[in-house]
Amino acid sequence: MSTTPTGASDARATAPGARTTEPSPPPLGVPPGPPPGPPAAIEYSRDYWDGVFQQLGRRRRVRWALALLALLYGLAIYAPLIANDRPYVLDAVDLREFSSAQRSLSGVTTNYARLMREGEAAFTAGLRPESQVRSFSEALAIERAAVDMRVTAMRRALPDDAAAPLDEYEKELAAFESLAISGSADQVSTAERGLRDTARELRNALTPLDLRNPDAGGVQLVPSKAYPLFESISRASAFFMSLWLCVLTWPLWNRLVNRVVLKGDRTRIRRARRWKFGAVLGFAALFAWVWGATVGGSAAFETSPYKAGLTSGDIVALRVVMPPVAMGFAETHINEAFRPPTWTALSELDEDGFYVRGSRTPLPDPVTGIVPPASPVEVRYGEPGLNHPLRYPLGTDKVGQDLLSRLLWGARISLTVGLISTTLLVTIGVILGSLAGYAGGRLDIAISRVIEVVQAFPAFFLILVAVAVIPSDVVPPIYSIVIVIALVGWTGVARLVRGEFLKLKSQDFVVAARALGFGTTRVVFRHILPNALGPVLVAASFAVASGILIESSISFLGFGVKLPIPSWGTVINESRDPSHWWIQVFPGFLIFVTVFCYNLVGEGLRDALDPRMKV
Amino acid sequence: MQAKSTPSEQPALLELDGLQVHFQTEDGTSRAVDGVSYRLRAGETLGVVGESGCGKSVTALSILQLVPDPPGRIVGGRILFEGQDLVRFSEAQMRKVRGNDIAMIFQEPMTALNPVFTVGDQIAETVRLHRGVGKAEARQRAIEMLTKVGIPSPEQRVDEYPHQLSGGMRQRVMIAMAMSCDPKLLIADEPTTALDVTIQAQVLDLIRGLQAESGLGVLLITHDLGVVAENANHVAVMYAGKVVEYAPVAELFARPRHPYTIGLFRSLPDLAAPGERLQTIPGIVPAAHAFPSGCRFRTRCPIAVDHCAAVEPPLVDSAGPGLPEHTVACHRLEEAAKL
Repeated sequence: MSTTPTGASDARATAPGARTTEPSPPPLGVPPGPPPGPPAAIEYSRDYWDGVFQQLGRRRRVRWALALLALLYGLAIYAPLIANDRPYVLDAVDLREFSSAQRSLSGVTTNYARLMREGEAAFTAGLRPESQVRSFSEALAIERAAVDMRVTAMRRALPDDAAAPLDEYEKELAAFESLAISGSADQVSTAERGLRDTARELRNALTPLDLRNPDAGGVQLVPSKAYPLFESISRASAFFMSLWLCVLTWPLWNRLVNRVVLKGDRTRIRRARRWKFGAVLGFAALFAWVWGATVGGSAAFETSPYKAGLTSGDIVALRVVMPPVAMGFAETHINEAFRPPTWTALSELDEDGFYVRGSRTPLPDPVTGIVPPASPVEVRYGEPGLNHPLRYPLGTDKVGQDLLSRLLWGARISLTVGLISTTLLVTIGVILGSLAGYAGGRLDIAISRVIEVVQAFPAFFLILVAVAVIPSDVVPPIYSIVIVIALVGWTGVARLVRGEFLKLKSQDFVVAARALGFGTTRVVFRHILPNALGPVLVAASFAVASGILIESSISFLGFGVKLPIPSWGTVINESRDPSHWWIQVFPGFLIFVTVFCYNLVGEGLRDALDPRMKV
Repeated sequence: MQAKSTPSEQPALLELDGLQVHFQTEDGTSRAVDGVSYRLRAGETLGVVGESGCGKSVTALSILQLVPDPPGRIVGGRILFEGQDLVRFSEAQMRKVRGNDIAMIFQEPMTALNPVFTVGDQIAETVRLHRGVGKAEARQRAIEMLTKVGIPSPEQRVDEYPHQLSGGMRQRVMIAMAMSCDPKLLIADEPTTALDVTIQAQVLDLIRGLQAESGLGVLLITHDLGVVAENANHVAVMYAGKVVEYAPVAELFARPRHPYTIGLFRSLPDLAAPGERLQTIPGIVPAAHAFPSGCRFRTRCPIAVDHCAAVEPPLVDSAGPGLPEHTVACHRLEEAAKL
């Protein structure tokens, strides 16, 4: 917990005298007046949740489980920074971009010039019913933008002293445009011909220097710096990344804030707690906003063949910084399908691309028909070498995608599904359960029957049917899975909450709250609900585990996610052949670890929330 | 404590007039409170005594209209608070009365405070609701109230949680909460039963002190006759959902008239005569859905006759002219006097 007291007060707080079951300390039996002796009340007062967290912290297994979960969520959140085929920093000349601009400039110039020359009447006459651009000015703007785009792309890479032909071209273009408005037909077509020639000549004049063939000559281009990986990180990702950073470093900055800003004052520290939560959320939101406005925010999952460009020499780089796992989650190495983890002996390839050991050398895979590598495997730019033990630490799947990268990205889906479905089912369960428990009577009977009916459904098959029936183009399967998990899973929470409400609503403090004139809403949400949430929290941690498991099972059966990002279940679904053990073992292990950790946390919570279990 | 004979013209703070509260149970209608009448004047204390299950607490809850409905329901009678009939009040009107005009403290201080809020928050919440004051002011009021009920170092205690306080402290907090909006009537439902004897005395002293300060009416529900003797001005003895005897405290203790009241006094341990076997009232309180016909006490009464089973004895003033009111519901007062 954040407000862990330090030093002497810590010792006090954990001393037996400060426990709940204390016998009456001396000042209690004293009639009104100043307390005699040293005041016991100086001790920092811990609230109920402080106690719960302290209890949780005492259990080593729970601590481990929480740490592992924090690690897993961290890996999921930071997956784009860890495993990506985009470089962090790319200081390079993009020959592809330059050449394509240079090559297509004469084409787009021709189109633009013809449109200008023929004018609006011809455009309207030649308009076909299926064409999308229907106004002349719009068409003109599009063609003009195409020209500008090429010119800008070339200017970016051209050194200043080599840009003269471009200046020439732009001058001629401007002249043509003014002629097209005011000049005679002859003048216009002469100018158009001239412009087309200039554009064609540009192509020869501005041939870039190809490093693979330096003797052919050409213009030496200027490199520009780019940050493709950071640019691809969306606002939402940035939010969670900064949020998680704040959460993980909480003990560090919290101590600093307590000491420097709050000056170690216990009362102020306790009151500032809510502020800190708000500040962390606010900081993350602000960071995400600024991020989206400046660096990132482009399409998050668009993959760009940076590595392929670098490998082929289309991108000539001065400096490239690749992430630690330089494999994209959707990047295929088709010749390395089903390659075992590269630290195993079976994975070793010879120079010709055959497995040195192992029986699978030239035989095609019986399921997929893919022949294991028989041609030299391509090692792309920034990747570990062919037989490097860390090339594929967890092996590859049937199209040669790196399993490690897929699992890291897959954690995003799997863990999110668990969390969101649980949030949904807890919300439904708490609302219906508290209604039934507090209102009683017919409403209680109705809700209880609904609970029983829903519980009578075989949940898993219901989810399968729902996912199969709901058209995936209307609701993506991942959403229908989440929603259906919540719709069949809320009953457990609802029963718990109902039971707690039945127990709590007749307790004195609830009657006391009503006797003080509090309305029903306030009594239910402020007085009963917080007391009923303990068991719900426990149920929720089990529900997250089961949500992850259900999603994995459905994905394993092939009904699951069809996003660019895989989920763990989808990865297992890639192969059921026992000889591809790595495909089943690694994602299976991750699912197991996550579910196990959640169960440990749930059990720890259950114990910590139960006052009788206090150590 | 002397029972002052107040002129009857002074309006009662609280007057119960034939209150009937019935519960619909699977065993049939249970008449938990069946025609209870008593009166309480401002600044006075009315002790309500009786065995467990005789309807004391249900009566108290129905004054605040807090009897769980269903199954409970006020089916008859009036509850006049400062002349207004609370039974006719809407829920919204009642909410203004609760906590503001009438407050209640409970038997079990362990469970009567919400375990997840600090005591300061709980007091402040009441103040904010009824007084509409700001956070800081409400907190100030909470500290003030804690000081008033004699809690040492209230500035610290205000931020503590109920589990950090002892039973006596919690009861004090309960009282602070109840008194925070200066109510005119305090219903104390066995406020000292769960406390040990020294703390009991302190809590009762505290209530008396507050009463002297503000002219508070106190409805003291208890089964401890000693507590009643020390604190009450009038006593209502309840048995099986009915008031069987009502008198000023001194009068009742000097001359108990009803066989049940007499039985209660007999069952008190007497420090002056140690070594004697305690007397008991034979039998148990009948179940609320199966009260006997006629006088409800007749099944346990040593002097019951057939007439007691046939006709229910009315509650009548048996005191002579000029004497303070002393009402009893018994057919056989002469025989009872010889008990």
